[in-house]
Amino acid sequence: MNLLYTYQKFSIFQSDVTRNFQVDFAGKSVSMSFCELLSFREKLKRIDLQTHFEGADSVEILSLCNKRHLFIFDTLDIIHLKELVRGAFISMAYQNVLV
Amino acid sequence: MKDIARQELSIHIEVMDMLNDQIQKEAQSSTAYLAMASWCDQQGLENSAQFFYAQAEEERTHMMKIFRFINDNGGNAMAPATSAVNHDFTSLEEVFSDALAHEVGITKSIHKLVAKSRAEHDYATDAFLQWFVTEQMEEEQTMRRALDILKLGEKMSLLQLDERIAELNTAQ
Ligand SMILES: [Fe+2]
Ligand SMILES: [Fe+2]
Repeated sequence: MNLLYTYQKFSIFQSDVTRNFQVDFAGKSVSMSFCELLSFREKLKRIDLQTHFEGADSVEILSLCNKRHLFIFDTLDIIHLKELVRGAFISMAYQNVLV
Repeated sequence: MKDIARQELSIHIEVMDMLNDQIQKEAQSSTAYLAMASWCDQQGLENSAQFFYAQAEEERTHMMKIFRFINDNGGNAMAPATSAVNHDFTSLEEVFSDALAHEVGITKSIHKLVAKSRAEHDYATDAFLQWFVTEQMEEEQTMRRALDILKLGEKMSLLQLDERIAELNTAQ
């Protein structure tokens, strides 16, 4: 397992053996294929934090990996997760440059 | 560490995001042209209606082209949501001038995509987009020709002008 990126209480690892990614959500780990990671990224991208700051929403319910997992995140979690995924993809892009 | 991301996804991730945005724009174009077709139909301008029905379908094929490209390359194509479009026009000229303005906007968006794929060294997407660059040029030319026809024929009746729009349908 290789660590790609850590941010606050969240981390993303990559396994060269299974070709999967592992996302640690403060205690709970979820294994994702690359495709599932992409869709997780897309779901985060579509969350408009502005609605949180305007007080309309304060929690987000995210279903991951084709509804295998269900998470409830607060505003701060979402900010951290957006940063986590951004960092992980940058870290992967750097692999591309280094190899 | 293996470069799994690169092995799974042949295109640059941020370029993929922009391609997904472009999918939405093509879908939005299709809806906008459908509204224009409907207006023309209601005015009894059959040739113009036919022209915009064909445009609406063409925009959908543009959308599908990008959609397939993303998924074929390991990405995550997103089915687009479209927002409300304008159904009210005061003249046929206004319809075509809106259509031209719309196409110019789409051209700019395609050019931004080309610039981004080059900046990220995503030459596969760059090559894929060349078809769209040419297509946009042709679409702008068609809309401009329609506007020329309408301007030339200020003394003609609306139905006579619609007859001349038929020339564009055969040229397409
Ligand atoms: Fe188009
Ligand atoms: Fe178009």
